[in-house]
Amino acid sequence: MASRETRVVLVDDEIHIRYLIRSIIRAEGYVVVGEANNGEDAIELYRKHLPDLILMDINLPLKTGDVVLSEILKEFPAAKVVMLTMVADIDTVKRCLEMGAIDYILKNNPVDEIRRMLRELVASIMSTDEEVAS
Amino acid sequence: MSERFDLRQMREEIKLDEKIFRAKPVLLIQKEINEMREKLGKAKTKGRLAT
Repeated sequence: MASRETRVVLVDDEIHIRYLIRSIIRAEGYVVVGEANNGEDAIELYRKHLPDLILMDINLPLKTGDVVLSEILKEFPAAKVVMLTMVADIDTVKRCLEMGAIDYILKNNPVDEIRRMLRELVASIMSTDEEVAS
Repeated sequence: MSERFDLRQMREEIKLDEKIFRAKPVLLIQKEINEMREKLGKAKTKGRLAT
C-alpha cells in the first residue's frame, strides 16, 4: 500500500520563521497545505484542510496559539497540534501539553534537531493512523 | 553606636525577594519539556487504565 504524503498546516506570524519551517517540512517530504499568520486564520485553515499535523506558534495576533489549541481540540479531539514557539515558561508548556498538544518544540533548537523531532512525530502519527485504518 | 540587627527588616526583605523570585517565570529547555511530555503521557495512560 502506497503511503500518502503528510499534510501540514503552519502557523506563525513571522514570515521568515514560516519560510524556515516550510523549508524543513518540504525537505522531509511533507506538504504544507496552508499557512496562517494569526490565530483566527489558523482555526479556519484547520477546518478547511484537516491536516495530519498543525505546527503552531503561541504569540499570534487575534488569538494566541494556546487558545487556538483549545478551540481546535474542542472541535477536533483527534487533532495533532504541535506548539512551535519561543515561549518556554513552565506554566504555558504544562498548560498546552495538558490541553492535548502532542508536542512542544522550541524554535531555538538546532535545525537538525527540529527536523529529527518532526520526523519522529510524523512517524508516530502515521503509524497510529495506519493501525486505526486496518 | 553599634549597628542593631533588625530581624523584622530582614524578614521583610526576604518576603520581597521571594515575591520577585516567584514572579520570574521558570523557563524550560527542550530536554525538560520532553520529560514533562513523557510524564504527562504516562499519567494520561495510567488514568485511562484505571477507569
